Order: sequence, then structure tokens, then C-alpha cells
Amino acid sequence: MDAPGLIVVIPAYNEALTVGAVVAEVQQACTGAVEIVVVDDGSSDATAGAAASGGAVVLRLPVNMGYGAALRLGFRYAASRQWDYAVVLDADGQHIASEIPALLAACRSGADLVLGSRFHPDSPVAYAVSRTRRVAMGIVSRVLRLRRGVVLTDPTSGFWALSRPGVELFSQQLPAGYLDNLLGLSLAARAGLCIEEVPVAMAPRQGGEPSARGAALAFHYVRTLLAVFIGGRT
Amino acid sequence: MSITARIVSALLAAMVVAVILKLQRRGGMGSKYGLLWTVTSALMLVLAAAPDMVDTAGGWLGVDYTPSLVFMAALGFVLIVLVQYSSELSRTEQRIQILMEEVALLRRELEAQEEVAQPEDTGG
Repeated sequence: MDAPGLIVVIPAYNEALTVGAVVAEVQQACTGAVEIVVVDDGSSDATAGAAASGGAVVLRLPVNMGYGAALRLGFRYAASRQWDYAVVLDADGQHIASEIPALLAACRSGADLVLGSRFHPDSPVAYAVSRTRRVAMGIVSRVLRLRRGVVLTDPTSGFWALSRPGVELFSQQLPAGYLDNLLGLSLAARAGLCIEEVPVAMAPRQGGEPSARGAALAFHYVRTLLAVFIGGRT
Repeated sequence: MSITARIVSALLAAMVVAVILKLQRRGGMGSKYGLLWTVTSALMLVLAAAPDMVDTAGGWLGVDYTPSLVFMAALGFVLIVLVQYSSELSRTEQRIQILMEEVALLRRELEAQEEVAQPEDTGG
């Protein structure tokens, strides 16, 4: 097999219903050789089997470790492979595979970390979120801008494209918890990586459960914000 | 302090000492924490048996209300121990995560080798 030009990392926790379709869509959307890696974060359903039968490489965590941990494992695996660019997207169908080329274009023009934004003024589809979430997102954006000088409209987006330096940094340093991709942005900015955002359309999630809601979600926001603010690493 | 209060507090402290020793004998507590809690519980026993020591110490330090000395020392000690546990727990979590990553990567490597050894039918 040729060395793929693209590696796609898909963290998945109990997403058996959607992960197969997501893998298939990524294969369709990407011309050329692509290696798709699904990180099964200790799922209790048939996520691993669904991903493997779609042709993805499956990494299975023995227990549920959380989104950040699954992502870091994916990056660790990616760091050991050959490719030009890496992409991260969700297994629940929220991120549309046909938007991948838009992210890659920004990567090719020199960005180390590109985020797909639902809330960018140029996003083709308005994306509805609860007011609480919108407020939380606004605070996160402000803290990231003030503390790290990064201007992002959708910092909690998990739709990423990365260069090799980005993947190598995160394979070592990405903290393991939920929402810790925000902390990852802070680390990347401190490491001097070039972070950009491109407008994308996103679909509503097609299956699975949000990882946290209510008080737990609020706790994760406050915890992560404090860590970004004081420059924490984990 | 009344003789009853003295007996009760000495008994409680003796129970703490007994529990700490039993845990260590059974292997339920490692020697690192064993030392910490053996010394602490022994100190509690001494203070319960001879509470006048607190007044003496308070006199040296110029503390008027000497029981507050005990509370302050106890609170400070508990705070230090808890902060130390939080940092140790975080380190342990990080180690577990690295362990999990290694397990997942090794499993993948093993599966890849098995696929090479017995190639699957690709006809589908």
C-alpha cells in the first residue's frame, strides 16, 4: 500500500450506529490514499466492529478514558505513520466529510492547526445551539483571545486539520479530559503553532449522547477555562 | 479537662492507632503512608493522654486560647496531606493514561501481525 497523503482520526464512544457511515463518507470525500483511524474509547457497543468493517484501523482503549485521551492516542498512532496532513472529526456524523478539503486547503497554505467553525460569519449554514452554550462559547473565545492571542469563533469545534508539528505536539501533551481540546488550543498557541479557522457547515449530531450536560458540562467549562487562564498543562 | 473526657479521647486515639497498625499488617496500607499515619496517630494518643502539653506549648507561643492551636495544626496538616494526594492522584491518572495508550497500540500491532500471518479474504 502507498503511504497515504492523509490520516483521519475519529474518536468514538458508543457510536456503532453512525461510525460506519462516517468512515464511508470520509473515504468518498477524500481522493487519493487515506488512512482512517477510529479510536474506540472503551465502547460497550459494536463501535469497533462497525469501524473495522468499514475499512478503518481500530485502536481500542480497554476502558472509557474520555475524549481527550482518545484523541491523544489517535495522535500517538498518527505520529508513528507516514502522511502529509491529519484530520480529526467526530464519529456522530456532526462533521461533514465533504468539508475536509476546505480544512486541508488552509493547512496547505501554512497553518499547523485548522478548526472548522460552525459560528464563523461565513459559515454556509446557521447552527442552532442553546443560549447557555452560546454564552459559554463566548467566554471561551474571549479568554483564548486575551490570554493566547488566538481569535476563534468556534473554539470547542472538534473538526480539525493538522500539520505534522501539530500532531507531534498533541501526541505528547494533549490533556485527557472532556473539553480538553480547548486546553490543547492553548498549548498549541503557547508552542507557537499557527492556528486558523475556516467556516464550515455542520449537521446536527445523528446519534449517540453528548459526553456531558448540565452541571457536569458547566464544571468542565470552568475547569478548562481556569486551566487556559493560568496556563495549565493537564 | 475532666477525667471522663480524657479517658474517652484516649480511647478514641487508641482506636485510631489500632486501625492504622492493622491496615499496615494486612498490607492495606503501604509503608510510605504507614509512617505518616503511625506518627500522626501516636501523636494523637500522646495529646489525648497528656492534654496539658497543649497548654504548655500555647504558653510558649503566647496563644491565649490554646485549643485553637490544636485546630490550627490539625487543619494545616490535613490541608497539606490533601494537596499532596491531589497531585499524586493526577500523576497516577497520567501514568494510567500512558499505560492505556500502550495497551491499545500493542493490541493494534498484534492484530496487524495476525492479519499478515493469515491474510483475510478480500473478496467479501
